[in-house]
Amino acid sequence: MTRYLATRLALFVPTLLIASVAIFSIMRLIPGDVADVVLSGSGESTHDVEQIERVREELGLNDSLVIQYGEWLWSLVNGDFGGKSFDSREGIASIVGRQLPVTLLLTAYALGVALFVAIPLGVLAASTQDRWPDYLARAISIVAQAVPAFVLALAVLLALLILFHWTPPIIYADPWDDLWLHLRIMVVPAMVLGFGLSGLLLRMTRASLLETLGQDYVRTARGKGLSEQIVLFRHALRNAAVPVVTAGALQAGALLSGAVVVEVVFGLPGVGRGIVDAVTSRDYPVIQALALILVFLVLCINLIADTAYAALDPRIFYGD
Amino acid sequence: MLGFPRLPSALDFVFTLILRLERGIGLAAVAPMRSLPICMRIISAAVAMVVVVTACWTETSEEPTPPRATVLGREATPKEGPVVDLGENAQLAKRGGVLVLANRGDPPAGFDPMRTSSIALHHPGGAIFGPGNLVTRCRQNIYLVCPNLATDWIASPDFKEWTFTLRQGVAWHDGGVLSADDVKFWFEMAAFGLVQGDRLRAPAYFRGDLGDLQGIEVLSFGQIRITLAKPNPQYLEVLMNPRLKIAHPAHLMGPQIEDGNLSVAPIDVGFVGTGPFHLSTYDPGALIHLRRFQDYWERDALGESLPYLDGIDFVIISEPAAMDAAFRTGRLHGGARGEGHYLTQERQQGYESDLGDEVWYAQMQGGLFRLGFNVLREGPWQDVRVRQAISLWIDREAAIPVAFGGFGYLSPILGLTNPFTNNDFVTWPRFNSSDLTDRRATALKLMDEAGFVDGFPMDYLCRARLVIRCEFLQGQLAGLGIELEIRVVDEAEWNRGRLSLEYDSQPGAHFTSPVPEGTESVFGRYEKNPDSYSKHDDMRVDDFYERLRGARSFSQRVRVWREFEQYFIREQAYVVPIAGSVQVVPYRSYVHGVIIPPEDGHTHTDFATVWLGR
Repeated sequence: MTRYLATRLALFVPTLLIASVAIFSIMRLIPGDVADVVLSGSGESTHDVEQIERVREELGLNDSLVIQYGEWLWSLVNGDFGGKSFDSREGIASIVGRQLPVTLLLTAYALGVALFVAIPLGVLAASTQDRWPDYLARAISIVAQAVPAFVLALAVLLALLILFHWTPPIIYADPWDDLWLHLRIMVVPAMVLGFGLSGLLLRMTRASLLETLGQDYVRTARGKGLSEQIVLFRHALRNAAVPVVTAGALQAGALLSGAVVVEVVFGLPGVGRGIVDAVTSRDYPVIQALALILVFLVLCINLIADTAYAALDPRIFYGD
Repeated sequence: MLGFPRLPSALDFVFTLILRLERGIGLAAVAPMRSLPICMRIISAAVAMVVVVTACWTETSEEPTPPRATVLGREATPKEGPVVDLGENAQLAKRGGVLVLANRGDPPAGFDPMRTSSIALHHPGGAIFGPGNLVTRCRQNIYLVCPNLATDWIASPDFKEWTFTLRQGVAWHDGGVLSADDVKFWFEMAAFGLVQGDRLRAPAYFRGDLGDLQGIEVLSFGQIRITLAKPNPQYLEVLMNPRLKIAHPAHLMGPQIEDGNLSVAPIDVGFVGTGPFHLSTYDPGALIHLRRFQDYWERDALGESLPYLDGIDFVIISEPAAMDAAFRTGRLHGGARGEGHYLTQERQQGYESDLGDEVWYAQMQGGLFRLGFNVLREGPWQDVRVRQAISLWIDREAAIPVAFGGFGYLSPILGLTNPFTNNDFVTWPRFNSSDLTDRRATALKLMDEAGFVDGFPMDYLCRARLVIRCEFLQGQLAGLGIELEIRVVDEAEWNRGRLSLEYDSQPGAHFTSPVPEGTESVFGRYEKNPDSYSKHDDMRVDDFYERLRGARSFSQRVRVWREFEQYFIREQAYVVPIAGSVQVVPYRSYVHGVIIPPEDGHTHTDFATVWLGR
């Protein structure tokens, strides 16, 4: 297992390297750069080509792409973590340190919401197959998967306003500064984001549990006189959880992309919103750093998911 | 299996629908349906009805009414809020309180006004760095020049030398005192940039407006002389642009520059300015926290120090719907400025239904929506008859409800209240809305004469944020047989594409200077002004601007400008002005003293005169 983990961690490096080249290249292919965006101030002033060229010169954008990539890569390694934002001039490390916890907390809360909704409903659906609770649960899963995150986020925001004349607080607070305020800010975005993920997890839980409940050992457990609750939760659910973990891990990317939308709508200063702002202003150092972080997060989540298999299912073994 | 009651067959349809949906999205295999008892049918039906009714319920049960047009006529004056005139009503002002305003994004470029004119910076920037430069736009009349960091000035007879006497006792937020050295430092950095070995700092984006500076001389601690290469009688009107903020303290930035940080910005030196508020904390993405600067120089009519407020919190809200929700639930005292955040009629109705007269609405004339032709690119639009036909064809008034959310106005170039604007433009053939049928008949005739009776294709550079306006234009031109291909681009490509010759037509940059001499960058020849709305090489336009700059009296300037309007808009139709947006910002009824300019939302954002009625 140790060797397996070491190998997987070692594979992170080439994966991140390839991702960095892809991210760097894609951003350079998009027309326009930060000089175009910042100088014109959203169209509220005019500018000229000479001005833009001088700003590009100042920011090093006229250097060859190889030099720009090499400098950026070196800054990642030497602790500079990409230097400074072209736009805000804030250090990248500071930006990441500020935005990453927000996104991690949001996705953690969303995952918790998703599991809290999906697992019980999935169990309910499987145990009442083809009865109305099953249909209701499946209807919920369809809605959860069909409605895009941005639609749901705006709809929830407007529903809160119209029905309850209430909106979440608008100034973000870290949990270590003001826990209660933090939770009030995060509860609605987490529920919106978690609801979207819960659809798939609910379906996977139901399907996996139905298959497991048809196994011989479950029939044996019932035959031994065990209660339905024990059969379900101690024997069947644990084995049924393996594909659910797989599905959840595969959805990590979707969860992070959903976080982008939710952060913009609810004004959370996380990585998702940071990337949107950075792409709009072509802030290359910020985009490259944040995108690379998201890649790293997905890799970590997949590794954790794979590791969790062995914990859930003793038949699964990594290594020699 | 766990036991659950059964549903009657009347709800089988619902379950069939669910099952079909599952099939449709490739989900698990379907099992046969079963029925449930009557009580569960009733409960389920009730739940379904509640869900449906809630989903369909809106704030009013009335049929939606079509948006009504609001056109500011020449007689209209912008709303200024409950109490504004500080002279008589200063005694009503109450001290204290923190004003909470929305801001549409993080201020870019490290809060540096030399790098960007974004309203996301200038909305809070006025409070931190003050309303302007050595001079500023007067609060009572933005078209007049008022003292700001300078109290007196004198120009040489040839208008090449301008000597300013600085205001005494203007303090920086860190305790330093503004001096002529600061002003010189600012002008040199703005006009020339910096070079240090192989490093450089680009000059300010507005360096062209500052003119060809020959010298900046410190005469004494409080006096400075600026020498221009060419005469400019309107130099004060250049300097009163609120975007030209002095936000660069020499005593803080100088040492950083010496250490090699040529790109130093206010964010690097603690946001030290000379405005009525100092920046207390800045949480990027969340909040800009300003607090009263005790040593601010300005006094009200009673001699009391300004500002009245204890502070201002600018909450960063990039999503307009989120801003609306926050305002309507009492979390904000005022809205954000900036395209997208200004209210439409529909959104304002939501405010009115929730808050009634607890809100007042500031209205400012925004930039014009226009069609500028690239006559340097081959195409039918190079023929003046085609351009005139397009100008005659467009129904400008229709743009206001469709493309401007109901808030708009008509004007050829400058704002309605601008003293330079031609009073007769509403009767011009291409603006006179009463004879649309006749105008369109003339337009068709012109197209026929030009040989394009069947129309032609043309592309249009469209800013993604303003797609609805492009679609309006597309619909209008379809009637003339013109297939307008809308090329939707994001901000970066829009900023780049505007300067290029790659597009047949475009709307141009948002802002036009209210000073005629400052409009050459958008109406001048492409060779000298790549960001011009219309790409042309008409030398006669150069002549107009030479005459403008040479004018020695206000009436002469007005005369030349109006001649230019007639030539550029009517005769040549290089640019077809369609309509202008009216920018609406909500404020709570207890927010007093906000100075609302008739145009240009960057003006008077110092909020020094604002107080809260509760």
